[in-house]
Amino acid sequence: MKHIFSIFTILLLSCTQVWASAVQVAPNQAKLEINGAVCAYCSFGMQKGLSKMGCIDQSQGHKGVESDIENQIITIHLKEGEDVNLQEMSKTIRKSGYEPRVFHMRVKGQSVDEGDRKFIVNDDQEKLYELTGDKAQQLVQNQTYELQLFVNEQSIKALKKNTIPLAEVNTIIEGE
Amino acid sequence: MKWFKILLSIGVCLALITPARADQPVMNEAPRWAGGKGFQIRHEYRASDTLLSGDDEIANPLGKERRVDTTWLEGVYTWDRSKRITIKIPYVDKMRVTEIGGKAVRQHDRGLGDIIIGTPLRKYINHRNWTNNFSFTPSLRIPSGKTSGDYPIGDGSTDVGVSLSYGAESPYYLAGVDFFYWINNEGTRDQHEGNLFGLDMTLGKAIYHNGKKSAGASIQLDYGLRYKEGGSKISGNNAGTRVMLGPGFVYFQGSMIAKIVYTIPIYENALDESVSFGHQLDVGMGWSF
Repeated sequence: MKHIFSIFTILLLSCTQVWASAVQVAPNQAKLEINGAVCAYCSFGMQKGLSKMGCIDQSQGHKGVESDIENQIITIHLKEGEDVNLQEMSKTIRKSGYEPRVFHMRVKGQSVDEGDRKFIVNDDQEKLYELTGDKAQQLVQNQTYELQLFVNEQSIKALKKNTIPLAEVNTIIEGE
Repeated sequence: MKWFKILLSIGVCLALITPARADQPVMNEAPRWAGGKGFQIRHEYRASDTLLSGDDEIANPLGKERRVDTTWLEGVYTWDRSKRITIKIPYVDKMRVTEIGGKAVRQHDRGLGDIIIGTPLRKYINHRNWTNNFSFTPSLRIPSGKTSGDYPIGDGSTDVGVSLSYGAESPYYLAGVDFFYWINNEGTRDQHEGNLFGLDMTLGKAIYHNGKKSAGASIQLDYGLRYKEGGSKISGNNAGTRVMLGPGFVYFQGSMIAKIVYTIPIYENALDESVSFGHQLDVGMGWSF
Protein backbone atom coordinates (compact mmCIF):
# COMPACT_ATOMS: atom_id res chain seq x y z
CA MET A 1 0.00 0.00 0.00
CA LYS A 2 2.86 2.31 0.93
CA HIS A 3 4.50 1.61 -2.46
CA ILE A 4 1.30 2.31 -4.36
CA PHE A 5 0.98 5.63 -2.53
CA SER A 6 4.61 6.50 -3.33
CA ILE A 7 4.19 5.63 -7.03
CA PHE A 8 1.00 7.67 -7.17
CA THR A 9 2.73 10.66 -5.54
CA ILE A 10 5.67 10.45 -7.95
CA LEU A 11 3.29 10.24 -10.93
CA LEU A 12 1.34 13.23 -9.62
CA LEU A 13 4.50 15.28 -9.11
CA SER A 14 5.75 14.29 -12.59
CA CYS A 15 2.48 15.49 -14.09
CA THR A 16 2.87 18.81 -12.25
CA GLN A 17 6.39 19.16 -13.64
CA VAL A 18 5.25 18.37 -17.20
CA TRP A 19 2.40 20.88 -16.85
CA ALA A 20 4.69 23.53 -15.42
CA SER A 21 7.15 23.15 -18.27
CA ALA A 22 4.30 23.35 -20.79
CA VAL A 23 3.35 26.88 -19.77
CA GLN A 24 5.11 29.36 -22.04
CA VAL A 25 5.58 32.95 -20.99
CA ALA A 26 6.03 35.68 -23.61
CA PRO A 27 8.27 38.70 -22.99
CA ASN A 28 6.78 41.26 -20.60
CA GLN A 29 4.29 38.74 -19.26
CA ALA A 30 3.78 36.59 -16.21
CA LYS A 31 1.35 33.72 -15.88
CA LEU A 32 -0.37 32.72 -12.68
CA GLU A 33 -2.02 29.36 -12.12
CA ILE A 34 -4.84 29.89 -9.64
CA ASN A 35 -6.85 27.21 -7.86
CA GLY A 36 -10.58 27.59 -8.51
CA ALA A 37 -10.36 30.44 -11.05
CA VAL A 38 -12.95 28.79 -13.28
CA CYS A 39 -15.41 31.68 -13.60
CA ALA A 40 -14.17 34.94 -15.06
CA TYR A 41 -16.91 37.00 -13.39
CA CYS A 42 -16.20 35.56 -9.94
CA SER A 43 -12.50 36.20 -10.41
CA PHE A 44 -13.16 39.76 -11.57
CA GLY A 45 -12.01 41.10 -8.17
CA MET A 46 -8.70 39.31 -8.56
CA GLN A 47 -8.21 40.79 -12.03
CA LYS A 48 -9.15 44.22 -10.68
CA GLY A 49 -6.66 43.90 -7.81
CA LEU A 50 -3.85 42.68 -10.06
CA SER A 51 -4.46 45.41 -12.64
CA LYS A 52 -3.84 48.04 -9.93
CA MET A 53 -0.29 46.82 -9.31
CA GLY A 54 2.37 49.27 -10.45
CA CYS A 55 4.13 46.80 -12.74
CA ILE A 56 1.02 46.15 -14.91
CA ASP A 57 0.68 47.51 -18.45
CA GLN A 58 -3.02 48.33 -18.50
CA SER A 59 -3.03 48.96 -22.26
CA GLN A 60 -2.82 45.19 -22.93
CA GLY A 61 -5.62 42.60 -22.46
CA HIS A 62 -8.42 43.64 -20.12
CA LYS A 63 -6.67 46.39 -18.11
CA GLY A 64 -3.43 44.44 -18.26
CA VAL A 65 -4.94 41.09 -17.26
CA GLU A 66 -6.35 38.14 -19.22
CA SER A 67 -8.07 35.06 -17.86
CA ASP A 68 -7.94 31.56 -19.28
CA ILE A 69 -10.57 29.83 -17.17
CA GLU A 70 -10.18 26.49 -18.95
CA ASN A 71 -6.65 26.17 -17.58
CA GLN A 72 -7.15 28.50 -14.56
CA ILE A 73 -4.31 30.70 -15.78
CA ILE A 74 -4.26 34.48 -15.39
CA THR A 75 -1.87 36.25 -17.74
CA ILE A 76 -0.62 39.63 -16.64
CA HIS A 77 1.03 42.10 -19.01
CA LEU A 78 4.03 43.84 -17.51
CA LYS A 79 5.49 47.21 -18.31
CA GLU A 80 8.78 46.96 -20.19
CA GLY A 81 11.57 45.96 -17.81
CA GLU A 82 9.30 45.61 -14.76
CA ASP A 83 9.64 42.64 -12.44
CA VAL A 84 6.73 41.16 -10.54
CA ASN A 85 6.43 41.48 -6.78
CA LEU A 86 5.42 37.95 -5.83
CA GLN A 87 4.55 38.81 -2.24
CA GLU A 88 2.17 41.58 -3.31
CA MET A 89 0.69 39.43 -6.04
CA SER A 90 0.10 36.48 -3.71
CA LYS A 91 -1.59 38.76 -1.16
CA THR A 92 -3.87 40.27 -3.82
CA ILE A 93 -4.95 36.83 -5.05
CA ARG A 94 -5.71 35.55 -1.54
CA LYS A 95 -7.65 38.70 -0.69
CA SER A 96 -9.82 38.14 -3.73
CA GLY A 97 -10.82 34.67 -2.57
CA TYR A 98 -8.43 32.37 -4.43
CA GLU A 99 -5.24 30.46 -3.77
CA PRO A 100 -2.24 30.86 -6.08
CA ARG A 101 -0.73 27.55 -7.24
CA VAL A 102 2.18 28.38 -9.56
CA PHE A 103 3.71 31.65 -10.78
CA HIS A 104 5.53 31.62 -14.12
CA MET A 105 7.70 34.53 -15.15
CA ARG A 106 10.66 35.57 -17.27
CA VAL A 107 13.63 37.19 -15.66
CA LYS A 108 16.89 38.66 -16.94
CA GLY A 109 19.98 38.81 -14.76
CA GLN A 110 23.32 37.49 -13.78
CA SER A 111 23.86 34.04 -12.31
CA VAL A 112 25.64 34.11 -8.95
CA ASP A 113 26.81 31.13 -6.91
CA GLU A 114 27.01 31.16 -3.12
CA GLY A 115 28.33 27.79 -2.03
CA ASP A 116 25.81 25.25 -3.30
CA ARG A 117 23.14 27.86 -3.80
CA LYS A 118 22.48 29.67 -7.07
CA PHE A 119 20.85 33.08 -7.42
CA ILE A 120 19.95 35.41 -10.22
CA VAL A 121 20.72 39.06 -9.52
CA ASN A 122 19.75 42.29 -11.29
CA ASP A 123 22.04 45.12 -12.46
CA ASP A 124 22.17 46.47 -8.88
CA GLN A 125 23.34 43.04 -7.68
CA GLU A 126 20.04 42.55 -5.80
CA LYS A 127 19.09 38.91 -5.47
CA LEU A 128 15.85 38.32 -7.39
CA TYR A 129 15.40 34.56 -7.03
CA GLU A 130 17.18 31.58 -5.57
CA LEU A 131 17.29 29.04 -8.38
CA THR A 132 16.60 25.32 -8.14
CA GLY A 133 16.21 22.38 -10.52
CA ASP A 134 18.50 20.56 -12.94
CA LYS A 135 18.62 23.46 -15.37
CA ALA A 136 19.87 25.80 -12.65
CA GLN A 137 22.99 23.64 -12.40
CA GLN A 138 23.78 24.44 -16.06
CA LEU A 139 24.10 28.17 -15.32
CA VAL A 140 27.61 29.54 -15.28
CA GLN A 141 28.74 31.95 -12.55
CA ASN A 142 28.62 35.66 -13.50
CA GLN A 143 27.01 35.03 -16.90
CA THR A 144 23.89 36.95 -17.92
CA TYR A 145 20.79 34.94 -18.77
CA GLU A 146 17.15 35.31 -19.65
CA LEU A 147 15.27 32.53 -17.88
CA GLN A 148 11.73 31.29 -17.60
CA LEU A 149 11.11 30.37 -13.98
CA PHE A 150 8.26 29.01 -11.97
CA VAL A 151 7.53 29.34 -8.28
CA ASN A 152 5.50 26.43 -6.90
CA GLU A 153 2.79 26.36 -4.24
CA GLN A 154 5.12 25.54 -1.34
CA SER A 155 7.47 28.40 -2.23
CA ILE A 156 4.51 30.77 -2.64
CA LYS A 157 3.27 29.79 0.83
CA ALA A 158 6.74 30.42 2.24
CA LEU A 159 6.89 33.92 0.74
CA LYS A 160 7.42 36.57 3.35
CA LYS A 161 8.41 40.21 3.16
CA ASN A 162 12.03 40.59 2.07
CA THR A 163 12.57 36.86 1.52
CA ILE A 164 14.10 35.75 -1.74
CA PRO A 165 11.67 33.49 -3.60
CA LEU A 166 12.76 29.99 -4.46
CA ALA A 167 12.17 29.43 -8.19
CA GLU A 168 12.78 26.49 -10.46
CA VAL A 169 14.38 27.11 -13.84
CA ASN A 170 11.97 25.96 -16.54
CA THR A 171 13.80 27.19 -19.67
CA ILE A 172 17.10 28.90 -20.33
CA ILE A 173 15.86 31.28 -23.02
CA GLU A 174 19.10 33.10 -23.64
CA GLY A 175 22.58 33.06 -22.22
CA GLU A 176 25.48 35.39 -23.01
CA MET B 1 -40.18 14.50 6.75
CA LYS B 2 -39.63 11.51 4.48
CA TRP B 3 -40.11 13.76 1.44
CA PHE B 4 -37.73 16.27 2.91
CA LYS B 5 -35.04 13.58 3.26
CA ILE B 6 -35.64 12.35 -0.30
CA LEU B 7 -35.43 15.87 -1.72
CA LEU B 8 -32.33 16.61 0.34
CA SER B 9 -30.64 13.46 -1.01
CA ILE B 10 -31.58 14.28 -4.62
CA GLY B 11 -30.35 17.84 -4.24
CA VAL B 12 -27.04 16.90 -2.69
CA CYS B 13 -26.44 14.12 -5.27
CA LEU B 14 -27.17 16.49 -8.16
CA ALA B 15 -24.89 19.09 -6.71
CA LEU B 16 -22.10 16.59 -6.24
CA ILE B 17 -22.24 14.92 -9.62
CA THR B 18 -22.56 18.10 -11.61
CA PRO B 19 -20.33 21.06 -11.00
CA ALA B 20 -23.40 24.51 -9.17
CA ARG B 21 -25.06 27.80 -8.52
CA ALA B 22 -28.47 28.99 -7.48
CA ASP B 23 -30.09 32.39 -7.17
CA GLN B 24 -28.82 35.56 -8.81
CA PRO B 25 -25.06 35.67 -9.36
CA VAL B 26 -24.30 39.17 -8.07
CA MET B 27 -25.81 38.26 -4.72
CA ASN B 28 -24.46 34.77 -4.77
CA GLU B 29 -21.06 34.42 -6.46
CA ALA B 30 -19.72 37.95 -6.67
CA PRO B 31 -18.23 39.96 -5.20
CA ARG B 32 -16.04 37.27 -3.75
CA TRP B 33 -13.18 39.62 -2.88
CA ALA B 34 -12.60 41.36 0.46
CA GLY B 35 -14.21 44.82 0.48
CA GLY B 36 -16.25 44.02 -2.66
CA LYS B 37 -19.59 45.69 -3.28
CA GLY B 38 -22.33 44.87 -5.73
CA PHE B 39 -25.87 45.80 -6.63
CA GLN B 40 -28.44 44.59 -9.06
CA ILE B 41 -31.82 45.52 -10.37
CA ARG B 42 -34.09 42.59 -10.95
CA HIS B 43 -37.63 42.41 -12.23
CA GLU B 44 -39.99 39.51 -11.65
CA TYR B 45 -43.19 39.24 -13.61
CA ARG B 46 -45.75 36.54 -13.04
CA ALA B 47 -49.33 36.23 -14.10
CA SER B 48 -52.05 33.61 -14.36
CA ASP B 49 -55.79 33.25 -15.00
CA THR B 50 -55.84 29.51 -14.33
CA LEU B 51 -57.98 28.50 -11.39
CA LEU B 52 -56.87 25.49 -9.35
CA SER B 53 -58.51 23.24 -6.80
CA GLY B 54 -55.90 20.83 -5.49
CA ASP B 55 -53.93 19.87 -8.57
CA ASP B 56 -56.96 20.12 -10.88
CA GLU B 57 -57.61 23.03 -13.17
CA ILE B 58 -61.23 24.08 -12.72
CA ALA B 59 -63.64 26.33 -14.58
CA ASN B 60 -63.14 30.03 -14.01
CA PRO B 61 -66.46 31.66 -14.96
CA LEU B 62 -65.72 34.90 -13.08
CA GLY B 63 -62.38 35.30 -14.82
CA LYS B 64 -60.26 35.30 -11.65
CA GLU B 65 -56.69 36.24 -12.34
CA ARG B 66 -53.54 37.60 -10.75
CA ARG B 67 -50.53 39.58 -11.93
CA VAL B 68 -47.55 40.52 -9.75
CA ASP B 69 -44.67 42.71 -10.90
CA THR B 70 -41.85 43.04 -8.39
CA THR B 71 -38.77 45.15 -9.00
CA TRP B 72 -35.93 44.36 -6.63
CA LEU B 73 -33.03 46.63 -5.82
CA GLU B 74 -30.44 44.40 -4.23
CA GLY B 75 -27.08 45.18 -2.71
CA VAL B 76 -24.24 43.15 -1.25
CA TYR B 77 -21.08 43.91 0.71
CA THR B 78 -18.31 41.34 1.23
CA TRP B 79 -16.02 41.68 4.26
CA ASP B 80 -14.07 38.68 3.13
CA ARG B 81 -15.16 35.72 1.06
CA SER B 82 -16.68 33.98 4.08
CA LYS B 83 -18.81 36.88 5.36
CA ARG B 84 -21.29 39.08 3.48
CA ILE B 85 -24.37 41.14 4.08
CA THR B 86 -27.16 41.51 1.54
CA ILE B 87 -30.18 43.76 1.35
CA LYS B 88 -33.13 43.26 -1.00
CA ILE B 89 -35.64 46.06 -1.43
CA PRO B 90 -38.78 45.21 -3.41
CA TYR B 91 -41.22 47.52 -5.15
CA VAL B 92 -44.45 45.64 -5.82
CA ASP B 93 -47.18 46.38 -8.34
CA LYS B 94 -49.96 43.80 -8.26
CA MET B 95 -53.46 43.25 -9.52
CA ARG B 96 -56.03 40.55 -9.08
CA VAL B 97 -59.58 39.78 -10.07
CA THR B 98 -61.27 38.07 -7.15
CA GLU B 99 -64.77 37.14 -6.09
CA ILE B 100 -66.72 39.30 -3.64
CA GLY B 101 -70.41 38.58 -3.10
CA GLY B 102 -70.55 36.41 -6.21
CA LYS B 103 -69.16 39.13 -8.42
CA ALA B 104 -65.75 39.60 -10.01
CA VAL B 105 -63.90 42.53 -8.42
CA ARG B 106 -60.63 43.97 -9.67
CA GLN B 107 -58.16 45.01 -6.96
CA HIS B 108 -54.84 46.70 -7.45
CA ASP B 109 -52.06 48.14 -5.32
CA ARG B 110 -48.46 49.13 -5.54
CA GLY B 111 -45.71 50.25 -3.20
CA LEU B 112 -42.62 49.33 -1.24
CA GLY B 113 -42.62 45.69 -0.15
CA ASP B 114 -40.97 43.96 2.81
CA ILE B 115 -37.20 44.50 2.89
CA ILE B 116 -35.02 41.41 3.36
CA ILE B 117 -31.62 41.49 5.04
CA GLY B 118 -29.38 38.42 4.86
CA THR B 119 -25.94 37.52 6.17
CA PRO B 120 -24.48 34.73 4.02
CA LEU B 121 -21.67 32.82 5.72
CA ARG B 122 -19.75 30.83 3.17
CA LYS B 123 -16.95 28.31 3.03
CA TYR B 124 -15.12 28.14 -0.30
CA ILE B 125 -12.96 25.21 -1.31
CA ASN B 126 -10.85 25.83 -4.40
CA HIS B 127 -9.51 22.89 -6.38
CA ARG B 128 -7.19 22.74 -9.36
CA ASN B 129 -9.93 23.06 -11.99
CA TRP B 130 -13.11 23.54 -10.03
CA THR B 131 -14.39 25.38 -7.02
CA ASN B 132 -17.20 24.68 -4.60
CA ASN B 133 -18.77 26.30 -1.59
CA PHE B 134 -21.18 25.71 1.27
CA SER B 135 -23.35 28.52 2.64
CA PHE B 136 -25.51 29.19 5.63
CA THR B 137 -27.66 32.31 5.39
CA PRO B 138 -29.89 33.62 8.15
CA SER B 139 -32.32 36.29 6.89
CA LEU B 140 -34.75 38.78 8.35
CA ARG B 141 -37.78 40.22 6.57
CA ILE B 142 -38.77 43.64 7.85
CA PRO B 143 -42.44 44.68 7.59
CA SER B 144 -41.86 47.74 5.43
CA GLY B 145 -44.69 46.97 3.00
CA LYS B 146 -48.01 48.71 3.55
CA THR B 147 -50.74 46.60 5.10
CA SER B 148 -53.74 48.81 4.30
CA GLY B 149 -56.15 48.37 1.41
CA ASP B 150 -58.07 45.40 0.07
CA TYR B 151 -55.01 43.89 -1.64
CA PRO B 152 -52.17 44.82 0.74
CA ILE B 153 -48.51 44.61 -0.25
CA GLY B 154 -47.29 43.30 3.11
CA ASP B 155 -48.81 41.47 6.04
CA GLY B 156 -47.07 43.52 8.73
CA SER B 157 -45.05 40.71 10.28
CA THR B 158 -41.32 40.39 10.94
CA ASP B 159 -40.24 37.06 9.49
CA VAL B 160 -37.09 35.00 9.78
CA GLY B 161 -35.58 32.67 7.23
CA VAL B 162 -32.66 30.34 6.96
CA SER B 163 -30.98 28.90 3.90
CA LEU B 164 -28.45 26.12 3.37
CA SER B 165 -26.82 25.94 -0.01
CA TYR B 166 -24.10 24.24 -1.96
CA GLY B 167 -22.57 25.36 -5.23
CA ALA B 168 -19.85 24.04 -7.50
CA GLU B 169 -18.41 25.25 -10.75
CA SER B 170 -15.90 24.12 -13.35
CA PRO B 171 -14.91 25.99 -16.52
CA TYR B 172 -17.64 24.10 -18.37
CA TYR B 173 -20.45 23.35 -15.93
CA LEU B 174 -22.06 24.84 -12.88
CA ALA B 175 -24.67 23.60 -10.45
CA GLY B 176 -26.22 24.83 -7.26
CA VAL B 177 -28.73 23.72 -4.70
CA ASP B 178 -30.37 25.85 -2.06
CA PHE B 179 -32.77 24.78 0.69
CA PHE B 180 -34.57 27.49 2.62
CA TYR B 181 -37.27 27.86 5.20
CA TRP B 182 -39.17 31.03 6.12
CA ILE B 183 -41.06 31.32 9.36
CA ASN B 184 -43.83 33.77 8.59
CA ASN B 185 -45.22 35.30 11.73
CA GLU B 186 -48.67 36.75 12.32
CA GLY B 187 -48.98 40.32 11.17
CA THR B 188 -51.60 43.04 11.29
CA ARG B 189 -55.33 42.61 10.53
CA ASP B 190 -55.06 38.91 11.51
CA GLN B 191 -52.96 38.25 8.45
CA HIS B 192 -50.80 35.16 8.75
CA GLU B 193 -48.91 33.95 5.75
CA GLY B 194 -48.01 30.27 6.02
CA ASN B 195 -44.44 29.12 6.59
CA LEU B 196 -42.56 28.39 3.38
CA PHE B 197 -40.13 25.63 2.48
CA GLY B 198 -38.19 25.98 -0.77
CA LEU B 199 -35.63 24.12 -2.82
CA ASP B 200 -33.89 25.77 -5.76
CA MET B 201 -31.54 24.01 -8.13
CA THR B 202 -29.58 25.31 -11.07
CA LEU B 203 -27.64 23.36 -13.64
CA GLY B 204 -25.65 25.32 -16.18
CA LYS B 205 -23.29 24.96 -19.10
CA ALA B 206 -20.78 27.62 -20.07
CA ILE B 207 -21.13 28.39 -23.79
CA TYR B 208 -18.81 31.35 -24.34
CA HIS B 209 -15.72 32.83 -22.79
CA ASN B 210 -13.46 35.63 -23.92
CA GLY B 211 -10.52 36.15 -21.58
CA LYS B 212 -9.33 39.32 -23.32
CA LYS B 213 -12.69 41.06 -22.80
CA SER B 214 -13.34 39.30 -19.48
CA ALA B 215 -16.69 38.21 -20.89
CA GLY B 216 -18.67 34.98 -20.85
CA ALA B 217 -22.09 33.41 -21.16
CA SER B 218 -23.87 30.31 -19.92
CA ILE B 219 -27.20 28.62 -20.37
CA GLN B 220 -28.99 27.26 -17.32
CA LEU B 221 -31.89 25.15 -16.23
CA ASP B 222 -33.58 26.44 -13.08
CA TYR B 223 -35.75 24.25 -10.88
CA GLY B 224 -37.75 25.46 -7.91
CA LEU B 225 -39.91 23.61 -5.41
CA ARG B 226 -42.11 25.43 -2.88
CA TYR B 227 -44.33 24.16 -0.14
CA LYS B 228 -46.31 26.80 1.66
CA GLU B 229 -48.52 26.13 4.64
CA GLY B 230 -52.05 27.47 4.75
CA GLY B 231 -52.48 30.95 6.17
CA SER B 232 -54.97 33.77 6.40
CA LYS B 233 -53.45 36.47 4.27
CA ILE B 234 -56.02 38.92 2.88
CA SER B 235 -54.16 39.04 -0.38
CA GLY B 236 -54.08 35.26 -0.85
CA ASN B 237 -50.93 33.30 -0.23
CA ASN B 238 -50.63 30.51 -2.84
CA ALA B 239 -50.63 27.82 -0.13
CA GLY B 240 -49.75 24.36 -1.32
CA THR B 241 -47.02 22.80 -3.40
CA ARG B 242 -45.60 23.96 -6.68
CA VAL B 243 -42.70 22.95 -8.87
CA MET B 244 -41.28 25.43 -11.36
CA LEU B 245 -38.88 24.66 -14.17
CA GLY B 246 -37.41 26.72 -16.94
CA PRO B 247 -34.38 27.89 -18.89
CA GLY B 248 -32.06 30.75 -18.07
CA PHE B 249 -29.31 32.68 -19.80
CA VAL B 250 -26.43 34.55 -18.17
CA TYR B 251 -24.05 37.01 -19.83
CA PHE B 252 -21.26 38.98 -18.19
CA GLN B 253 -18.65 41.43 -19.31
CA GLY B 254 -16.19 43.14 -16.98
CA SER B 255 -18.09 44.20 -13.86
CA MET B 256 -21.56 43.75 -15.41
CA ILE B 257 -23.67 40.60 -15.29
CA ALA B 258 -27.17 39.98 -16.64
CA LYS B 259 -29.50 37.05 -16.16
CA ILE B 260 -32.86 36.13 -17.63
CA VAL B 261 -34.93 33.14 -16.48
CA TYR B 262 -38.36 31.99 -17.59
CA THR B 263 -40.05 29.33 -15.47
CA ILE B 264 -43.39 27.61 -15.73
CA PRO B 265 -45.24 25.61 -13.08
CA ILE B 266 -44.92 21.95 -14.02
CA TYR B 267 -46.83 20.82 -10.93
CA GLU B 268 -49.14 22.68 -8.59
CA ASN B 269 -51.33 21.48 -5.78
CA ALA B 270 -53.28 24.31 -4.16
CA LEU B 271 -54.43 23.83 -0.57
CA ASP B 272 -57.46 26.00 -1.25
CA GLU B 273 -59.15 27.00 -4.48
CA SER B 274 -56.78 29.61 -5.88
CA VAL B 275 -55.33 31.14 -8.99
CA SER B 276 -52.20 29.33 -10.21
CA PHE B 277 -48.83 30.87 -9.36
CA GLY B 278 -48.37 31.28 -13.09
CA HIS B 279 -45.47 31.61 -15.46
CA GLN B 280 -42.63 33.75 -14.20
CA LEU B 281 -40.15 35.90 -16.06
CA ASP B 282 -37.14 37.09 -14.11
CA VAL B 283 -34.73 39.61 -15.62
CA GLY B 284 -31.79 41.02 -13.70
CA MET B 285 -28.71 43.10 -14.29
CA GLY B 286 -26.00 43.77 -11.75
CA TRP B 287 -22.59 45.30 -11.24
CA SER B 288 -19.85 44.58 -8.74
CA PHE B 289 -16.99 46.81 -7.67
